[in-house]
Amino acid sequence: MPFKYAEQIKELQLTNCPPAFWRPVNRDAFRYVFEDIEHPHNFIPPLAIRPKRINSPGFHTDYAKCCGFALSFFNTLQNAQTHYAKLQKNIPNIGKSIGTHIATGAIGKADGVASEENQQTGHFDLHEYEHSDLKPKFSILIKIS
Amino acid sequence: MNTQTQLHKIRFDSSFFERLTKVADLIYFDGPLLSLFRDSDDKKYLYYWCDVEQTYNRWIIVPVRQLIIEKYFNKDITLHEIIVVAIKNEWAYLVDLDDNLQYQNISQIDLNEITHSYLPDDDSFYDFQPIFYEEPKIPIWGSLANISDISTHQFLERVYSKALQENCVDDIWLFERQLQRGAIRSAAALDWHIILQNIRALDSVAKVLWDAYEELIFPKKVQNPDAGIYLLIGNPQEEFNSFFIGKDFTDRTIFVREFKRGFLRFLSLAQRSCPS
Repeated sequence: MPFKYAEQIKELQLTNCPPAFWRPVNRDAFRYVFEDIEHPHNFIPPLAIRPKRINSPGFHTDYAKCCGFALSFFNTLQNAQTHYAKLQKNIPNIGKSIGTHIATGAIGKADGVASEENQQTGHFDLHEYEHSDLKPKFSILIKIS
Repeated sequence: MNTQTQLHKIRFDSSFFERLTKVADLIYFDGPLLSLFRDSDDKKYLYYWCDVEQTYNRWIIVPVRQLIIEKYFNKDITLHEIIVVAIKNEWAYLVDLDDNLQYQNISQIDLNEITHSYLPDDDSFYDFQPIFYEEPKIPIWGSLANISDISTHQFLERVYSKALQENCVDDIWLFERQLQRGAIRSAAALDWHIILQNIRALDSVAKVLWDAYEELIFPKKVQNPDAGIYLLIGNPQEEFNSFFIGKDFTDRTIFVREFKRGFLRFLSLAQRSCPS
């Protein structure tokens, strides 16, 4: 099944993107979003929001570029809250960049392929398939900022 | 406490940004939030993301000594302290980076005027996983297993001579563990390690290890079938992968292939998920 950002990935000549060991999953997931669930950035990966960031040092490896076309999630509400608190303590304005609320929803195998979870943070990423539409599946759970 | 004496003000001449090389992202979520750069003189700089508007991201840039970075990693100093000290000493700058990655509005920061939300909390001790961009030095730990009449030193000499033949002697550093008098020797102790200097030498190193095993250890297996070489690799995340030549592996081609595959997969373990 084609990926949502396959054209950009092809143009950038990113090989093994998404990595072959990422797998379709059925699972609940938690994501940082802005208060209005219709906010245009809520379910768009960073390099799709600002494509020119591809040239910045933060995305200078192929792996980072590939991750830039994936959506970030956490495996539990607690892990999402804990990580946000850590970020906010260091970067008080973080909400202006990644959102101020946590939304939850169910990701299905037809939505894309997911990375393994980070064992320490519970963070994982999803490369969406072309026809995936996560917004209707997610609802705002709590305010965190 | 002034922890950054002897630093100099940044001179934002036209080549300043061009001379910078990314060393690591220290805080990252959907992009870098705190990054460490170095210039061509190996002076270090922190880029600290503090705000975003429609067309630009705003960063605080401060010069920082290596010692301070180490203290920050060790939780002896907070990010708040690093930035505030830099501001007090007039070393900190606000820089807007626009969508075209052009630096705009470079200004020195005044502590009395800075927006409170631009500063980390007082207890902003480091609690993240850094992402380093310079090639790591990779240790391969090893031990002779179930061998009594060949010393580690003899074995490493053989490895060295094989490395000369394979033309990879500059790509590996060999270290023999020296036990102190009175030290307790455990059967599981690892007696030596190799620091692989270049990932491209991985194939050669696997062959060298096998050939040294085949010449020195394999003939002993007639009398002692359990003889072999135990290898262990580990990464900064303290994840490990082991290989037992002579037990798990009895064929050179298979060992070289599996060692390389296991090693590279092991290195990619840090990339099982995107940085967070």
